[in-house]
Amino acid sequence: MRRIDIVAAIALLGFVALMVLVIIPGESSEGVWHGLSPYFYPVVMLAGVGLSSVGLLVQALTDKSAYNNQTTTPLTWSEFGFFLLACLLILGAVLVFHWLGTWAGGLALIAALMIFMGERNPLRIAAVAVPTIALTWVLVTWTLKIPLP
Amino acid sequence: MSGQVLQAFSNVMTLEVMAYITLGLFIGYVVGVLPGLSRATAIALLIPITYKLPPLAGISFLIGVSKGGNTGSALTAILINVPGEPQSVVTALDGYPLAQQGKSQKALKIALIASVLGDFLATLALIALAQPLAAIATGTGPVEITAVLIFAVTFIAAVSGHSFYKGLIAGFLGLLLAAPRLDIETGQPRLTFGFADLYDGVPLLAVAIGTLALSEMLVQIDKGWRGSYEHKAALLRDSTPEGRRLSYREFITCLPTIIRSTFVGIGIGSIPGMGASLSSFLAYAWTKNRDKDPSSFGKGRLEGVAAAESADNASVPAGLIPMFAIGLPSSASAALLMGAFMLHGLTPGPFLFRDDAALVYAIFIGMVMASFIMLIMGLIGQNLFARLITVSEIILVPIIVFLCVIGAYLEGSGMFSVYLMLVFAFVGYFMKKFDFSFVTFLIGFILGPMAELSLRQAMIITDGKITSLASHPVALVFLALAVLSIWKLNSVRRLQAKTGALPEEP
Repeated sequence: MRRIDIVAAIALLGFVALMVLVIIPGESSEGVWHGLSPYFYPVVMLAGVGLSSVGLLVQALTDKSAYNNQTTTPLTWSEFGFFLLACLLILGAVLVFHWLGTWAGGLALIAALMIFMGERNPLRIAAVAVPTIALTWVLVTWTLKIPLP
Repeated sequence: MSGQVLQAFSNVMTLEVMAYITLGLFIGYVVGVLPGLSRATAIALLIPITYKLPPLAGISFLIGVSKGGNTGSALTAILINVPGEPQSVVTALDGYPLAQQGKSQKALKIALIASVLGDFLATLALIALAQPLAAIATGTGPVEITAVLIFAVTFIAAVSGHSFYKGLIAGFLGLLLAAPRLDIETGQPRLTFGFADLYDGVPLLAVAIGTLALSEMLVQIDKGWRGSYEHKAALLRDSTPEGRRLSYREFITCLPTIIRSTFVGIGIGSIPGMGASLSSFLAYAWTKNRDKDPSSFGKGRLEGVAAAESADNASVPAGLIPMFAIGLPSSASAALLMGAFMLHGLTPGPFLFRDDAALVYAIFIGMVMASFIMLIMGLIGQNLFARLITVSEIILVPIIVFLCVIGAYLEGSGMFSVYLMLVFAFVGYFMKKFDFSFVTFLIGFILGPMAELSLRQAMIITDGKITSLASHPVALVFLALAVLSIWKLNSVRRLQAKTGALPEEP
C-alpha cells in the first residue's frame, strides 16, 4: 500500500498540474487566477487536492511505520484482469442497450454476467433475465411513464 | 405551527404516502438482509423511481428504505454470522452464538424490538432538536457556512476510511466534481468540454450509482464468491420452543440497555462522519463493561444484541439532524437523501423549516409511523426475510447491475449518464481498493454547489481579506476546529494504523 500511495500522490499532483496549467486555460478565454473568476473555485479545490497529495507523499516516504499493519496487497494482477474483463462485458452490454434497446441490452447484460460468474444452465439464466427485464419495463414505462430505449 | 402540524398529519395519513413508506421499509429490509448490498446503494438505485412521485411520498419512501435496511441487516448477522451492513458486526458477536444455541428467533425478536425502539426514540430526538438548531443556523451567513463546510469536510475526511490525507483528497475531488457546469455568475460553460449534458452539473445519480452500487458489484464479481446458505438458514427452523419466545421478563431486563444505547446512537450518529458502526461498538462496550458478568458477552447475551441494534438504528434518524438543521449530510445515505431533496426542488437546511414547514413536519410524522410499520413487518415477515439469505450472488449481482444501468438512464433520459456511471464505477472500484474514502467523495460532491456559492459570497463579503474573519467569530471557531481535527485526529489515525485498529466507513 505504501508504494500505491506514492504512485497515487504523484499521479494526483500530475493531474492538478495538468488541470491548472493546461485544461483550465484551454477551457476559458479569460484566465484570471484571483478574485471571482469562474475558475476560482476549481483552482481552490485543486489546490486542496495538491496539498493533500503532498501530505500523502511525505507520509508515505517518511512514515513507514504507518503501513506496518497493511500486509495484504489490495489488488493483485489477476484480480485486476478479472475486473477489466467484467468491465468490458458490462460496456459491451451497455452498447447493445444503446443500439438495440432495453430487451436486447438487458438480456445481454444479465446473461453475460451470470455466465461470467459461473452459471451454465440456460433455463436458469432465462428465468432470471426475462422476469427482471419485464418487471422493470412495466414499472418504468407503464407505471412511471418514462420511455426506455 | 399547530396548523402546519395538523396539515402535515393529514398529508401523511393518506393511502399513497403510507403505501410508499411500507414499500420502502420492505425493500430496505430485503436490502439489509442481502450481504454485499448496502442501503446507500439501494437509495441510489431507487431515487429515479421517486421522480414522478410527490416530494413527501418520494422522500418518505427513501427514508423507509434507509430504516428498513438497518433493521434487516441483523438477520444475516444473527443467522449466519455475516453482517448485512458493517455496523451489524457487533450484533453478530452475541446474536450468532444465540442462534447456535437454538435461540435464533429469540435473538431476532430482541433485535427487532431494540431496532424499533432505538429508531423511534431517535426520531423523537430529531423532531425535538432539528428545528431549534435550524433556527440558530438561520442567523449565519456565507462566511460562517463556508467555515462549517470546511470543518465538516476535514472532520469527515479525518474519521472516514483508513487515511486522513486520502480522505481529504477524496473530499476535495468530490468538491471539485461540482465545478463542471454553467458558471453561476456569468452563465458561461465551465469545464463542460462541449457536453451540453453537463450544463446543469455532473448528474448526481451517475456519480452515486457508479461509485456506490456498480463499483460494489464489480468488487462482488471480483471476489468470485458464490454462497448458498440453506444449511445455515435451517437454524431459524431448528429453534427450541423456549428459544422461539421472548418473554416479558427478558424484554424488561434488556430495556435499560436499549434506552442507554439509543442515547449513544443519537449522540454519535448526529456527528458527521462518525457512522453507525462506532455507535454500536461503543454501546456494546459500555453495556459489557457495566455488566456484573462481562465475560458472558460474546457467548449469547440478549443485552449484547439489544445494545448493538438500538444504537445502530438510532444513528439513522440522528444522522438526519445535521442535514435538516444546517444542510450537512453526515453519511453516504444522508448525502443521497439530500440529493433526492434537491432533485425534488427542495434544499435541506435551516430555510426548509421556513419555506415548507408542513413538508418537514410531514416527513417527521412519516418517520414515526415508519417505526410502527417496521415492528409489524418484522414480526410477521421474519421467516420470509430469512429465506432471502439463500439467494445466490450469481442471481443478485447481474440484476443489480442491470438496475444500475436503468437507474442512470432514467436520470438523464439518455445514454450520457450511463457512460458517465461506468466511468465513476471504474473510479469507485479503485477508491475502494486503494482506500480512498468514497463516502467523503460523495459528500463533497453533494455539498459542492453550496460550497462554491458560499465561498464566492464569503470572498465578496470579506473582500478577500483574512483579517475580516475577526468580525465573524463563529466562522473563526469552526476554522479552528478544522485545524484541530486535522492535527488531533490525524495523530489518532496514525496511532490506529500502527496498532491495526481502524474504523469502518460511515
